[in-house]
Amino acid sequence: MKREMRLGLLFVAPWLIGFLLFTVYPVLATLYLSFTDYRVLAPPRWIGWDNYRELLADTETFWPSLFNTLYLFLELPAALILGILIALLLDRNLRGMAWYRTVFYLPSIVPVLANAMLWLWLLNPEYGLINSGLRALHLPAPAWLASPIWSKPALILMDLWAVGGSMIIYLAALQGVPSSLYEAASLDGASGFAKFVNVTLPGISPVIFFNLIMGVIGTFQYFTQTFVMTRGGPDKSTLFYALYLYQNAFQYFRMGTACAMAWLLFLLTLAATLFVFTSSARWVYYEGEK
Amino acid sequence: MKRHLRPILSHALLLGLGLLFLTPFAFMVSTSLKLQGKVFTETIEWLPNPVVWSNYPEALGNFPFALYLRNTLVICAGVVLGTVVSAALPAYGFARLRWKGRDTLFFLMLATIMLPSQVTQLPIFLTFRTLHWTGTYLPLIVPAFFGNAFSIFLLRQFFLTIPQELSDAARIDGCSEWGIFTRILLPLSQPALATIALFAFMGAWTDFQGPLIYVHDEDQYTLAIGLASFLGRYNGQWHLLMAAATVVTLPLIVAFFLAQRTFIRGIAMTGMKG
Amino acid sequence: MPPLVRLVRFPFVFLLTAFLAVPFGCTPTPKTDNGKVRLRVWSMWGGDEEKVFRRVLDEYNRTHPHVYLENLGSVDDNKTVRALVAGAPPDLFTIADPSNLGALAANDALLPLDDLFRDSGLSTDAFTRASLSQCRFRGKLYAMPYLVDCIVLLYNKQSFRDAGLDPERPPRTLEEMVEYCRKLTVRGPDGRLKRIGLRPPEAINLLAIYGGRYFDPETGTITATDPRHIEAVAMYQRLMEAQGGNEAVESFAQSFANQQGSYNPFYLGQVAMTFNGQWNTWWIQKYKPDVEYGIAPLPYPEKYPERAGTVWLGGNLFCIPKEGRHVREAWEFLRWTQTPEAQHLFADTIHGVPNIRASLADRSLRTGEPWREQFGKFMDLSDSPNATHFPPMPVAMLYLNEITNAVDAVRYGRKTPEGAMRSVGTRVRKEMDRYRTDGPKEVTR
Repeated sequence: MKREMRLGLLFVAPWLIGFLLFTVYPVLATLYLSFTDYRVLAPPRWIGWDNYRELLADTETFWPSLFNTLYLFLELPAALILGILIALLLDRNLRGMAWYRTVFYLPSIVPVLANAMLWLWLLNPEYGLINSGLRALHLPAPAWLASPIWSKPALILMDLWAVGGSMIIYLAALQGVPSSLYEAASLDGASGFAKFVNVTLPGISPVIFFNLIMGVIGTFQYFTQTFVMTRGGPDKSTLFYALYLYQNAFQYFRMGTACAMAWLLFLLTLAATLFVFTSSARWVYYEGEK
Repeated sequence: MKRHLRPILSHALLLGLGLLFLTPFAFMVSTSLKLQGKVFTETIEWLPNPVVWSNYPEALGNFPFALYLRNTLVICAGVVLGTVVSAALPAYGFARLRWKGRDTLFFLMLATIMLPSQVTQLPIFLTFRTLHWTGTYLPLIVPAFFGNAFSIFLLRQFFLTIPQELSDAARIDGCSEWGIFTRILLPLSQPALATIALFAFMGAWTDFQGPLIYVHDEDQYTLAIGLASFLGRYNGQWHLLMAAATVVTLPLIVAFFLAQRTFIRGIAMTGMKG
Repeated sequence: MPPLVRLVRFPFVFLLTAFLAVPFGCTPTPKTDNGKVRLRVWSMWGGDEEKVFRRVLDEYNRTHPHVYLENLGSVDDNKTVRALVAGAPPDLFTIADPSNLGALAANDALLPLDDLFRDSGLSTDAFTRASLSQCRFRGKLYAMPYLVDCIVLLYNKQSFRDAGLDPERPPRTLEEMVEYCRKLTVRGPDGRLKRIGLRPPEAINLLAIYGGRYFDPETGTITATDPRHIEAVAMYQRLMEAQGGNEAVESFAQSFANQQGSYNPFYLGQVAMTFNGQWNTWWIQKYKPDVEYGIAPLPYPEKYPERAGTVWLGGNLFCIPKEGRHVREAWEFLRWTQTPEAQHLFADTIHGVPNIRASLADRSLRTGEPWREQFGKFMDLSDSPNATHFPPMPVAMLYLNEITNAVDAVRYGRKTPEGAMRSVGTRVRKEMDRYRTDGPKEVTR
């Protein structure tokens, strides 16, 4: 028992040392600061629960920013399904597959600025490709990023393009599904779809789990696109939690409030992650843990 | 469906969807080859006319490209090496060994990425300042050698897909944990290792905040900063920006190409008996 | 030592000795080579603008052999703040967003420059009024401007002609502007906008025109509900309605996205009027020299004729940190930036407006090519008695963002002007109160 623990600790030591060196202090510091009025340039002043109290009472900005962020969770299932489908499509021995893979991954590589510029164009309410298409089909053409109602769907649409990041993880995982299992399934006369459900999905479920957890964490911290493209507007419709946190920390000199926000977000993320974790016993299949 | 039709169908599907996913990149390249006056038009002009190759030398002449490239490569090499070296061991410890406190520590590790970086940034900065590391690349490279949670988590998940029987068999043959790790797990995890290396490379290559925070000397700036400083306040030189962006993006494409070469069905499983 | 550094130091010295008993490099100390004092300058400019600023420093270094000023470009205010917190600021730095001046000064991070200013023989009268008042906080001078940006009304003469308006008569009052907007707005056969009268301006510009108070100078109380502010917000709404309503205008304006250079919507006549800055003179010359445009002060409300001649002014602030190591040398440079040569050198390359009155008469900046004559009009307007800026205060950034949010809420029909400004007041007041309890380190529960 002792020996096993020592061995385990030895293996995780690289991370553990880094954790103690570079992470423990900053984390504890932010916890302390969340109970202070900290103007960054002046010493922190202890104010107890005031930051938390004020945030929870703030129906003008704090709560809307949280609801805006929760809205983004609509994207998770879509990204999950799209990522797996494309990975399946790319997991074949076809001629030129390296090129196809690269093409599907490209949107995740293109610098944010270039991507933002393209999307401002595609989503352009007047001349944009998307609205031209909708008009041709005699469908209503929304104002997208200029409309408080459509701005969030626009950002989600844009995000789905960069599904390549999770796609490549699925693709790597697909390589590890033992071909013997497929062969066995074929012998049993399983259809393609049955093989997908009974062999492929369980085989890659550990990384589906990974992408789901990272998706949850990433969604709660969604920031870059709105920072570059909309800055929270129009009418606060894209003011997401992390953007408001950023404003507090770096624009309003309210680091104490920002830290309190960070810890509230931490607790929320923790709860959501724990939920996924406990449910995972039922759907994640670990070869290595039989 | 006839057998020989399927590849054709696959190609058609891949081509169609691929075109959609190609748009951002195509747009970037096409803009990079336009005259400044032709950057904005009511409908996107995908094929520039005329093609202005000189945008490239002009864009790259805007900042000391060779120097920034070198700096970026130094950081990338350090980060990729550090990440790959330091992620596999903890991942093995979390995935394949049974010990008391393992799950608690694992969850603690996950928890560290749940706190937004905006608030930890300042204490971390002060930490490095106390170490007298600001003004150097150390704050950008050294932490990578202490395992990052994202990579460890990802590798752990991959390790968990590898059947336990393999390890058990090796153990019966008298193989040590270290031997199982290096001779069985690592060779079987090539696609996964390539994936975390790719992510580490991309992260370091495109990181713009990190160098901006820690570097105090323009000779130490990186390509990502050079790219960002393109946008002066009233600057409308999108064509040059896109040319620079294209050049900066190319190495990432090469990196992806190299990484995906390990994704070949069959190779990964050679260690396994059917 | 700043408190947070102290807070860090203890656990870290401990951990350090435990894990890394290796000495690492040290921070650069002020270098002097062949007797020169090296000054670290952090500036906000990047890309082309940085090159231009570097040329200014080169010139200074050439003519002042005892010092060497070294520039670090593309610095954002947060980097500077971090350096100040860590106790290692540069010797001289720009503030990219003037709204940060109040917070930096209130937290004692900046060196008051009044004594240096007086001793070097500078006089307030030598400066255009607003360029210097934007640097004052609680009566003290905390920054030096090196040129300013000046926002006025630009209007497209051809669009005026198309709409049957006199191209030599820009709107003088806001009420007139509403009428102009109505006439200048053009729709296509499908009912969609083809041209709007006025590009939706920054909310604060409209508030500036009305000249309401942001706080009570006697008591320091936030006065967001000053009736003039509320009228300004209502006027914003009227301007949008005159052009087909907010949703339509926003959607049309969104279609301009980031278009600059020759596809700037104003140059193309998609917007007939815009509140915009002096850099346009050079840009139009460069990208679309055939655009016929006029320059006028921002229109004023009929009710308040004394607001005639309003322009929005500001920017390019240089500060010396409170604990600067080369205060004298840094000030010498700032003193030099106020000379006619230095003003000319930078104004002619970055196309900013001189902040020294004597330089406003600089003929080589305002004569010659036609665009320079237009530039000259900006120079004249920059010294208008109604040249205005947001007052430096510790909560300026929050205040400004809240004002923008309030105007947004009104434009999208979520709030009334009164209601929106009332909530601005509540939020900013709460913040200001925190700032004022800066006495002894009281511990409340």
